[in-house]
Amino acid sequence: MSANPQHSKKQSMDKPIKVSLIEDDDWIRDNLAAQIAKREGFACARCYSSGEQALSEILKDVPDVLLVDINLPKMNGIECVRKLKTLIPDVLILMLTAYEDSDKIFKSLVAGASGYLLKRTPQDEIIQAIADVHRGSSPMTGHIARKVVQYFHQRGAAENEIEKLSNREREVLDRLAEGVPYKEIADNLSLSIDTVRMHIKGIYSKLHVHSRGEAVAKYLLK
Amino acid sequence: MYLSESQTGCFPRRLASLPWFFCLIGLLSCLSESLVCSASPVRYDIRVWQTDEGLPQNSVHAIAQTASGFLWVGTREGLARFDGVRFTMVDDLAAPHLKQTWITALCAMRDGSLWIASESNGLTRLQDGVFRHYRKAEELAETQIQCLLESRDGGLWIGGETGLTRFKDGRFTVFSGSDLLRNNSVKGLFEELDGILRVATVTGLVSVNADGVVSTNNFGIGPVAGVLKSVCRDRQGRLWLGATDGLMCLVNGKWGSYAANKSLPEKITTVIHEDRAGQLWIGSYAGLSRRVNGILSPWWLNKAGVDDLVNTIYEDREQNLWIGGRDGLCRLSPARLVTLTKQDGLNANNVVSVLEDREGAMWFGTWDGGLTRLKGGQFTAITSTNGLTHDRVLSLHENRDGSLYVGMDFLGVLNRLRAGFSNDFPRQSGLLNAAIRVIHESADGALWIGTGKGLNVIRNGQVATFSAMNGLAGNGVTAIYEDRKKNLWIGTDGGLSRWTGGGFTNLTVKDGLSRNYVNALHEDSVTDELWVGTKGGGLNRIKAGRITSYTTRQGLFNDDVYEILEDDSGHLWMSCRRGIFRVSRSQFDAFDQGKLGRLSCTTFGREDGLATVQFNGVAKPAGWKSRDGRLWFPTIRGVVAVESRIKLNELPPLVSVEEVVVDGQVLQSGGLMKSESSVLDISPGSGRVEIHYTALSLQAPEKNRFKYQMEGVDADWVDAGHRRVAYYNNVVPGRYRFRVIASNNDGVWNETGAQLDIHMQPHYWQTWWFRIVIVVMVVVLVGAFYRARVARLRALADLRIRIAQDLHDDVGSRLTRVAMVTELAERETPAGPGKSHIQNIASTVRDITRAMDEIVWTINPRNDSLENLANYTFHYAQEYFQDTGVRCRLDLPHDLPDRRVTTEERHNLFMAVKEALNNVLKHAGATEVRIALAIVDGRMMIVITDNGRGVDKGLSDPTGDGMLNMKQRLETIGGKFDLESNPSGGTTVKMRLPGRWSA
Repeated sequence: MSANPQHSKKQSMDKPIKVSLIEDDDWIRDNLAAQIAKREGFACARCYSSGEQALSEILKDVPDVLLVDINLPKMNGIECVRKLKTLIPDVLILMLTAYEDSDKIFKSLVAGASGYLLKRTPQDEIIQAIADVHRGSSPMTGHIARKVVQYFHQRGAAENEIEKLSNREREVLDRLAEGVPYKEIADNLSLSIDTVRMHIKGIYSKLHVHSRGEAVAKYLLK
Repeated sequence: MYLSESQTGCFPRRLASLPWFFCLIGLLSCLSESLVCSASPVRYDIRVWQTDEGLPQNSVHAIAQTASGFLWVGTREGLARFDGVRFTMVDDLAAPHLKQTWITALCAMRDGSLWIASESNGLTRLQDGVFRHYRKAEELAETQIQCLLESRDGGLWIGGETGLTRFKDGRFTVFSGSDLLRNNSVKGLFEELDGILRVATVTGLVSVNADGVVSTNNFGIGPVAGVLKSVCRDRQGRLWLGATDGLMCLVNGKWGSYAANKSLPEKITTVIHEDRAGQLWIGSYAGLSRRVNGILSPWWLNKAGVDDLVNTIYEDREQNLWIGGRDGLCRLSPARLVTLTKQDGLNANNVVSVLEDREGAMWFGTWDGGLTRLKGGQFTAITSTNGLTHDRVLSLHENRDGSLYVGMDFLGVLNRLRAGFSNDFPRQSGLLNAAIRVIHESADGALWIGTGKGLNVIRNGQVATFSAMNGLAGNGVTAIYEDRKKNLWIGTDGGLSRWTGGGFTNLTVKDGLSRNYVNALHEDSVTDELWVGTKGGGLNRIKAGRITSYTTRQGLFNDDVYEILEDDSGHLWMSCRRGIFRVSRSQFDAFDQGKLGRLSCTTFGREDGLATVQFNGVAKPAGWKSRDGRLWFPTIRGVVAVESRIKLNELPPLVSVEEVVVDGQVLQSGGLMKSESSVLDISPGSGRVEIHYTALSLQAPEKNRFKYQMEGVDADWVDAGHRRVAYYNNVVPGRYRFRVIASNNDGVWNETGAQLDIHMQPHYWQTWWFRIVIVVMVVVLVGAFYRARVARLRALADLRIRIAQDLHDDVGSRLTRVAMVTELAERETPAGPGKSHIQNIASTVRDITRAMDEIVWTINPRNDSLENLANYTFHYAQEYFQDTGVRCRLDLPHDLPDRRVTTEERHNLFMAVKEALNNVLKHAGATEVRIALAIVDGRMMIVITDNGRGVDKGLSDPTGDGMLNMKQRLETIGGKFDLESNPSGGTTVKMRLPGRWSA
């Protein structure tokens, strides 16, 4: 993901955010697609009922944001995300999940997703989240933050300097893991909220870098 | 019962008239001139065994010693095997016909087998533990066998009621072709050196040559009045025939007959036997006669308290003679010691001193019996009645002039006997009034008289007296000895003094003497060393001024040495209160040089024929070496003469493991053991194992010694002494080798001994295979159980996963759909009462979804980890307090232990935390809540702290139900619940997880 905030903002002003969906439940998919299409500044590009279908067809119409159900039949959402990100590194992916399954969510984040949405989330919030991610922001909840902390903790010194978290990023992440809201983090660290968000984005990208190398290797080997 | 018998080879005169009842009391020594004859025949000790000692029956008809060393004794009521100590009846299932039958003849073959003839029942051969019975049916025409003989070619001659049979190469051949043998009863057999067999029959002498030709050549003997019983040719070539009417001898073609006379106690001769020493033994109906040095003389067995009828004579490998008679089994073993007592002619039994004078007469000083002189077989008594001042004699000394000084007890009168026993006891004034224990005439003619109170020296008629007062080591003088350098040594009770001409130099304990009390002095015949016997300190050797001592610690038999004599073959003989013992001189040197770890003494005690082991050492000489080489020692029961040239038994004894008794049950009988190499299996769980063994030295079996070792149990050889059994308790199962070695009566060891392999069988549960089976079974069972359980748990887990999946996929997606529809409806419904209903539905659906979320999380076993529990709980908390105004802070380690938390624990903990959070939000009125997970003292704790009103106010949980609930939930899973108020306000809930934890 190389989301440039400037670039995204310009894009949102110029043309609608193109959203595609991968969801096996027809009703939800159609409903969600319809809702997105209705909103101003959003366009629902394509709907896929499976990861396989999406992978084979996505290049025909590359979306800005892709919503991926975490529980897809056959090829699951995480695997799908990993392959999509290899195929289209720039696409922004939000996971759709019925439950707060932190393992799966975290795995999809590592695979390249930029956030997740509970399906029960009110639609306004879903739309907001799509807009946020498109704008370059990546929400991170406490329990995911904790997973991320552990992830980097385990990798430890094995990685090279660039891929390590910066001190600030680590501070932000630690606070997130303690359940401190963004605003408080910003206050505590004397940062602006945007800076906090920027750090979180940085964390995400380092997360993705880690996984991408692995993913590429895996994909090419297949 | 031991009896000592001296052979009356030269002069049998006295014997018949002696009162025989003494024989029954115990030891009896008969004396004859032979005691002082230089070429005296072998003397024998007699030992008799009868039924009270295990002999099956007293009438012994056959004796034989097999190569195994056992003596077989055939009686009228069965056969016994004898090891010198114990009779073992032959009672074998394979040979029932031998039980309690009359054993008429035995023949031990060179191949180790034994032929047994039993009355009217043919022959039995015992070979390698197996009996084979030959009866009439098996070519053996004869069933009534009377004699057996192994010929030099390994065949067996069988003489019976109806003739002669030969067994060779597995076949019987009957020699009844000749009229001479047909239906002729064969009584005795003898094989000549040239192979001709002489056959004694009831009708006369028959010969069979090597080719089997029967001849009537009977050396012109003519008709024999009686029945021939036996035949023998001695090494001088005389042919002897024993018959019912006497003994005949053919010398140089002339027959002579010994009618029953004094030398042949009874004319009915039963057996003639020449022993390896060349002595001819003739058994008759009334005794035993011996022909030695050309003189036939009677040997009265009844002196041993038994009837005189002799059935058989047998000489064993140790040259003991075994006589089977009507009254038991007798052993004649070469006597080593002869004891003369009052019965033989001594005046009294308590002999205190002994010497041999220049005329060859032996003199014995007795206490309370005066003197006895023995010369030419004649005992002469010299007592107070014919010359002595009184009868309590102590010391003796023969003067250079031929007179005999006699030192007396009590007031110490000195007697002097001259020729004709006239006594001119010198009443010298100045003599000490004390018991005279030793008298010595020194080379310079002075007379030295040792008394209990000091020393008198009479020189040129002048008497000098020495005691401890004027230089003597002690007052009690015990010994005076003049060595070859004319040094005069005086042994006292206070040390050893040497006469310097005018005084004494003394040696005592301070100078290295083992004890001050000196008993005996002897100068070595080879070196000029002085041997000093002490009382309590053993033996000292003074060698060039250096004193070395030898005591029981170094192997000396006793620490009291009464007298020291030296024989012609380099042995020192010593007497003590426990017998006499002999040590080779070279042993002391070897011991000093460290070549020998311990002195070994050959001892002579009761087993060797001593009536008492209490020797006398109170006066000198307490021992004397007579010119014939014999060593004489006085005892309290007569004087003992030792054959110093005695031939020791140099034959190592054969050793045999007799039987193994396990828990009182006889497992195996040794002498009849089937095979040497077999292994004895002992059944599992056997506790006490006794192994009986024996040594086949029959000369003095009581002196045989044993050492054994169970390899694997005994680290070293166990010295069993005279014991013939080894005991083992609770031996660990396994294979063992039991080894036993033995010595004969003279300490000659058979170092090879005997051995027995024993297999102590393990209980099946002690075997290695059983243990392996058990281990394998346990592993298999545990594995199977584990697999079954794992399979069951996995099935359960799978089920739960499926349920979770179904709930998630099916119910979940439908609920999602409902939520969406509701939301859609809500949005499209205009404001009004209907809208609030729809809003209500929407929020309920969201709640249900959240509840479903929890249920799915709970039942999915994939979440069974602490990490999962913590994550989920914390996420829940965060979400729960979102937008509530209560700040939620989380505190948990980066890395939690990778440990399983069961679904039940997870569920209960989560519900408890939920309850606690609910309390915080609903009742505490807090603005901040802190949830921490940490290991404290090895316990995993969930601590929830708020800054609310605190529990004391009773407001954090108005009903108390929530608290009780949490408590129960924690108790259900084995944890602990605690609630406390913080000092700064607020409440702390502590939940302790079960088990011990480590970070």
